[in-house]
Amino acid sequence: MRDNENYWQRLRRRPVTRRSFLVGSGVAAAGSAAILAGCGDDDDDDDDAAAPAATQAAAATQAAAAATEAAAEEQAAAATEAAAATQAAAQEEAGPDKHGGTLKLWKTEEDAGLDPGVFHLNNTEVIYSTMTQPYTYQPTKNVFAMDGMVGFEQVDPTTFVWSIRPGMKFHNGDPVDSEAVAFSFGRLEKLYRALDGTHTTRTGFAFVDSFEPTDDLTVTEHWARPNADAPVYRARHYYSFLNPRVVDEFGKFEGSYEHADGTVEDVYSVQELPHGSGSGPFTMVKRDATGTRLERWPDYHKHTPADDGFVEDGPYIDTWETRVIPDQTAAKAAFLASDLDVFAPVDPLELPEFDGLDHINIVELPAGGRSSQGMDGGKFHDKRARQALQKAFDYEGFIAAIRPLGGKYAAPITDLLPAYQKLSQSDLQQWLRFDPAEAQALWQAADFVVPVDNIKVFMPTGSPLQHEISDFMAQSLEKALGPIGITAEVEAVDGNSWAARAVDRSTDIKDWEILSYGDGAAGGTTGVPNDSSLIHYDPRAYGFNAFNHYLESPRPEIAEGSATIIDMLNAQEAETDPEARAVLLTELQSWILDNHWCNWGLPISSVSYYGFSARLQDQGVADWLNFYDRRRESMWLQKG
Amino acid sequence: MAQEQSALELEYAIPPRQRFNPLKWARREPFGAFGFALIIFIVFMSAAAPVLRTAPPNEFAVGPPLAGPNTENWFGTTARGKDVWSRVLFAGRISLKIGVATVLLGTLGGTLIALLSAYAGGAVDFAVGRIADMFIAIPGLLLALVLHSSISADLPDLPGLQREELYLVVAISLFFMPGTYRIMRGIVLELRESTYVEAAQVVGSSSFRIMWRHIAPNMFGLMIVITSISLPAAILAEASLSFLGLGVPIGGLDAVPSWGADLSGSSRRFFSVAPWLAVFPGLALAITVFGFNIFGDSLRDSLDPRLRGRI
Repeated sequence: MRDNENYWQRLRRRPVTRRSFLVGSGVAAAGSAAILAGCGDDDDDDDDAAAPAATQAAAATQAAAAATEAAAEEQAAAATEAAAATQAAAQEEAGPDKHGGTLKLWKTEEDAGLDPGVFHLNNTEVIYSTMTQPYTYQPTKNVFAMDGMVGFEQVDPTTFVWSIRPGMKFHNGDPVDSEAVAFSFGRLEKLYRALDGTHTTRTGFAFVDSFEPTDDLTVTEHWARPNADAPVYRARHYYSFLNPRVVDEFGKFEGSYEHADGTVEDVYSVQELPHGSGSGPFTMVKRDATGTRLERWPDYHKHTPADDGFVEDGPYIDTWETRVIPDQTAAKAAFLASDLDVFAPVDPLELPEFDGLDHINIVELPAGGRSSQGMDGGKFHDKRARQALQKAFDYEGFIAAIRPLGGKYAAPITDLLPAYQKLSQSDLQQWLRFDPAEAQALWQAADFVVPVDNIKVFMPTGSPLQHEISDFMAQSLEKALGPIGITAEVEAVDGNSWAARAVDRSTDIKDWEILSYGDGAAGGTTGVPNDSSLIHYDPRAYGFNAFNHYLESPRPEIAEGSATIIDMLNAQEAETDPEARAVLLTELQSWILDNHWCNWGLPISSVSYYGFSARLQDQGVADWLNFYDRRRESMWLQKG
Repeated sequence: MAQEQSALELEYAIPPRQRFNPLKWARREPFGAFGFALIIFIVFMSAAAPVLRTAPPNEFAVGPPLAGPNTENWFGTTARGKDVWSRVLFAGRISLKIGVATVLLGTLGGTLIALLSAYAGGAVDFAVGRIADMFIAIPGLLLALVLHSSISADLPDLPGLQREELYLVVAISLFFMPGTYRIMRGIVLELRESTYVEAAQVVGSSSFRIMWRHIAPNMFGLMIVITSISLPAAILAEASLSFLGLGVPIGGLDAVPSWGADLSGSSRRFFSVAPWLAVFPGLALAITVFGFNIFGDSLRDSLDPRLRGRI
């Protein structure tokens, strides 16, 4: 009887079977997916062909870029004014009851070290908050706001005198005096030498001969040559005041430094930043793979009178909590759920998602981002090879695909420094022009000591947009140079591994061809042309350790170019007249572009968007572009 | 007497082998047949991707950014103007390729190790068993991460299998192999003690001959079942690893789209404003896994009478 049963009869007799369960779930899932798909934008009105759509997007982008360029300064001023007005109104409304609480931030990776004198990624939130710097500098307002110093004076073109704020103490009670400050500043060059140049901030102190404590609260520094940016450099995080006693007690031996008189000094670092290292407004109470937590230090020194961004009695905010969230989408979800106070950059395409959300403020800011492509001088020593790479890149296609809502060509110096960056978009397009035929001819004519038939674009993970940029780069290079047998690929690794391989100096050639970094979606400037971004071309900085473009290069043309650009970099740095300096900087940028030197910037977004929680007040929007947001002690959090 | 003999012959006669009738099987196992049809559909769509595509899958700006499904881009476009339909089609290739290669390596490897170690017995069996225990104790994802950082850079490019694809195959196979070994070892231990194996030993057959001619053929049915059930899990594992950025190459003209990778990366930022970025790759993945699952389940019912479907 049973043998004659068909499937349906058996099915009726059965309790729940695995198969029934699977079928039921599958049908439910497929149905749900179909309903969701049906909810999508079904608008077929736009029946333009694919290629015209891209062209239209490119044209729209160009128009947007032109409009943005013309209105950039106005927008910046308007945005700043509007933000200031909003903040002022909010402050007025709130009155004197400025609430502390916990400010919740995020970063994509944990730090690899905290010593302010050694270059590492992902550590500035700790250094700026737990340590004291001389002051902050806001290029948009040209304002120095005093912090650890109460004044400075340039006695002559090569002598600078600092006056330290009286009454400051490190977190362990040790006094902050001229000995400590001179030690903190003087160790930068020693660390650079001891670590064999593996950190790249040297442009900020390479011109200094010595730092000397003159009396308890005065430090005098002597320079080997004048430097127009010296005061601005002093606002950077590596000029933090570090407690020498803590370094003595907990320091890790890094190497030796030989003085001019032949004496040798051991050099130590404090990568863990033990308690007592700093004298800043916060102390670090947690640092692990999940993030950092900084709590207000009750004995923090007073700022009397308080300069812009500082308050007399120390910061309003009680705690800074920075979570490691490797995934930007997860960070966005946390921000939308009020679990983060800041989210940046916001992609222009995702702006509709933030519409109508009362707990979030989206602020538009001029974009000073950078999307860099460093070239290994060990392989691309012939400038024709570097030029071939630049001619093999489809700039207009890139803007259409990656910057669909507005993109602009990038000069070696950021547009956020209009006093120094004078090259127009049309100037830049003369150098940055897609020409596959010329690229092939240049590549074939170029000399290669190390043969290159595959171009590896090497990038850090963290920013999904960076993946798209590197993908576009690899595709563009392979399309243009593929006919002569060149292939291209992308390799992505975590940020710390990427940085280690980027500056690996164990051989004269890198294990990648192009070092891709920066998604160009947003960014700011410290106010120094070197920081933004001549340092990427400097044979004493990234040019040396990341791109093998340096004075002692075994490739003669690289060594010769290095000598030339170092002279030009020194000349512009020594020029204190802004107009004369702008002329020198234009010549320098032209030389870089003529020689396809070392690195090139892809078109960047012409606008950027930052997301702030509505409870965050007086955040000083411009400070988030200057990197001194961590020093803005007047920020506070609205209750509720 | 003759009548008795003929009754005995009838009782012990080897029944004629029944020919496999697909239509009869489809009537008996309609969901299995439906699963098989889904698999054929996915294989066809993936194989015909170069013909069915509406744009190169990696090409940027073939349409406006985040365009919804329309007549030009049937499944819409990504934030960078890539065609989702074409990407979904091509992504099926990597899923099937990695899935099949993984399951073949994992199942064959696990079966072979089980056959050799269980038949040998003693110290060999004990040692192999403990190694399998060790691998089972390590979470699969952790194992994949360790392998990625330790061996992926040193793997060679094989014909038809790039270095990154080979890494996926090795990482996922290592996850499946110990489980297969465990199941197969039990079968070998049972078969080793069977009468016909003892008979073969008595007549002086070599160990290799016994394993190859008498034990292995009896493992074949279960091997097919394990293969069909492991395959959807392997496809999901590939999608998961690609989702985490440990999958196939992510850039360049030869980069292969993957459903898992397309469900992660930059697309995820735009899921709420462009749901088609999640729906179509997700649906393709779900259909494939569903197809293999119900097909494998029916196959199990058909080939293994001891495991008739009740849960």
